[in-house]
Amino acid sequence: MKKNLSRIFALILALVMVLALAACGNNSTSGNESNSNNESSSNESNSNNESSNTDNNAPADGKLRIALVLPGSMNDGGWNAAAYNGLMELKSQGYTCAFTESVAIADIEQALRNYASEGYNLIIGHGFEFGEPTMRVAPEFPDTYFFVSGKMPDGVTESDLPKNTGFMDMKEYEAAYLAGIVAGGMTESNKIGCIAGLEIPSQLSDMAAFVQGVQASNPDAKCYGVVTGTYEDPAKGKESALALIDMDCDIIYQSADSTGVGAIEACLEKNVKIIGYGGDQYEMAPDLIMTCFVTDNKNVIIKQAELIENGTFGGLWEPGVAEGVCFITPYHNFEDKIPQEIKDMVDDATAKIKNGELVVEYTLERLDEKIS
Amino acid sequence: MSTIFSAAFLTTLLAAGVRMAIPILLPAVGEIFAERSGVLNINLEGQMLAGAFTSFVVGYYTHSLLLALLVGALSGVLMALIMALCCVRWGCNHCVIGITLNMFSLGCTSFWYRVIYGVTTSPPKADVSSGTLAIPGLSKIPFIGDILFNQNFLFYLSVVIVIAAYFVLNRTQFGLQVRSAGEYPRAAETMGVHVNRMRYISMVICGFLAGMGGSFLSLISLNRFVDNITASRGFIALAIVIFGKWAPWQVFFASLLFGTIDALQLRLQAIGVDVPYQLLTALPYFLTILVMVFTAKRSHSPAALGQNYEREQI
Repeated sequence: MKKNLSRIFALILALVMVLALAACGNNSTSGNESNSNNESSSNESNSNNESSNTDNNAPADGKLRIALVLPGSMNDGGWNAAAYNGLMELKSQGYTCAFTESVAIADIEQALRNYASEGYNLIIGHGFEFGEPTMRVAPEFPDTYFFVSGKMPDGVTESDLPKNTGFMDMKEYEAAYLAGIVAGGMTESNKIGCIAGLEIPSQLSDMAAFVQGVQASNPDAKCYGVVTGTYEDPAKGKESALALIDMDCDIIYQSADSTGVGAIEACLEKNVKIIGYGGDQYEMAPDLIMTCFVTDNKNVIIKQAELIENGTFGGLWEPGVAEGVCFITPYHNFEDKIPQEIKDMVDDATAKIKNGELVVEYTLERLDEKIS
Repeated sequence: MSTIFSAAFLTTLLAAGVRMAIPILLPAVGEIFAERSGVLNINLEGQMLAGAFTSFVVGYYTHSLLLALLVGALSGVLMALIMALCCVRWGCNHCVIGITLNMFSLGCTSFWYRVIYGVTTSPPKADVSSGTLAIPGLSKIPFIGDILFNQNFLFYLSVVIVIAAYFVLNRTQFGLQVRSAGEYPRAAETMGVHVNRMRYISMVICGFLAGMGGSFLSLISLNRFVDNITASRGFIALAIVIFGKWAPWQVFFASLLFGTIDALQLRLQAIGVDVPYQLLTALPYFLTILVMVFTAKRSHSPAALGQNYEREQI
């Protein structure tokens, strides 16, 4: 009896430790994979039977078979949802599509391999965590195209990339800079709160560029940052926002997907203005969301299918504001509230980024206020 | 640095700590019943998630807070009954069933949410009114008033539940029967206690409170539902029960401590304390492990916890 008890104790302790790891590390949601949409899996099995005898590179119906692997839930209202919408767009154009969501980092390689051996032509890993696994898997399947919507792993240069891989390092931070200009121009307390998900390059560079944007339009404004450590805990996002609002912040910037949904809820409660992220979140708080900085994940994914059909797939692609891939959404209800000079400043910065006059600094440093 | 020790900072910190404690406290009190009766209910997370989802759906369509809360709690009961059926009736391993049902609940709620609301970048909102409820008179007390008497009504309800749980477990015949079922079921049975009935009833109580805790997250705190909204709070509650030595009051204070530390780390980050954020986010978990290391020896878990009881087995 004693033994059993200690085993149970050990198990609970282990659970707590795993939780602790999950909380300070990646978003490991084991078992989430079972969420895969029924629709897509049935589609998958049908097409498997059809094309099992055909060559990988030349599908029977001439249309590509595309698989999307997502790091988080496809219903996160941000990064993953936008990619999912892109895939559905492709599906409506007649492509055969499949996807898996909430894939833990340890399972990425397996997921890529599965799709490759099932004969998918284009496999998209949606996030920078897919870089290294793709570099390992891609050489094994020379007839399959791999696309990673994230930067290349450290120490890899464009010339090292296998011919069948494409990487995309989006300059999301350029859009964050533009949003920063808006926030700087609209703050009254000169305090702006920032809520990020994980401490990863894209999130850090977004936050740093946002702070630079704020300072460009309002040198007196100060930014305060919270990294919640999760993309999937809206209750924590809400408390983070409340903590910042209690400090007198009158604008909250969020870039944390589901966690950010909670931040928006806090702003609704306290009537605080918001900079949104991932998609046009205007509907969630029409009177508070000034603008959202977004990446066009949908069209980026659609474009890859075109590139393969044109035979120009591969290499590193670094789209940003200039390419129209990263931008800020319309001001909607704030159209009249944002001063014209601020709007002009945003337009001016956009034009200068496009013609190369203005280069937004890419940095992973925390530029928000720190007590030393 | 001086901001950390100001009265305003402390007041808002402790008020936030209380808010963050509620969704851990309710399921933890339920778990006390389950574990005291001998069922190791790892399915707490799944019961919370079921409650969070159904209460959101009901709140979304009916705008009735009480109805939504009740349905949320009842769907927690439903999950708990599945668990009880497997573990109490059929004698399955509690851990295996609990973990399996957690996955089931996560998949099931995410799936049906998508069926009903689709995939969107703007999750829909349930218009259910529930702000804070200031208790007349008491909320005017400086400092304490803002922390304890200007909270959501569910916090006051939780305090009542903790008091009730304490009396039921320690001062009633039913409580004694529940505890005996978890300590020495064979002896309890010979004294005329229906061990498995006690376990069923305890699981119903547990599911009800867990479902309510989940509803707090979706219905009251956020007015929205997202996949995996509970974000492992059910597992934290499991740890809190051990932390609080299976006693309602200790669990109450353990949840408050955990909530406050969690609120503290967010606020320390917000004011810009220059410590790596990983260290700060790990703080509440680290503290829980630390306290458990020091108190585990003196803590006494129910002797028959996780063991199935069969009448005819000798």
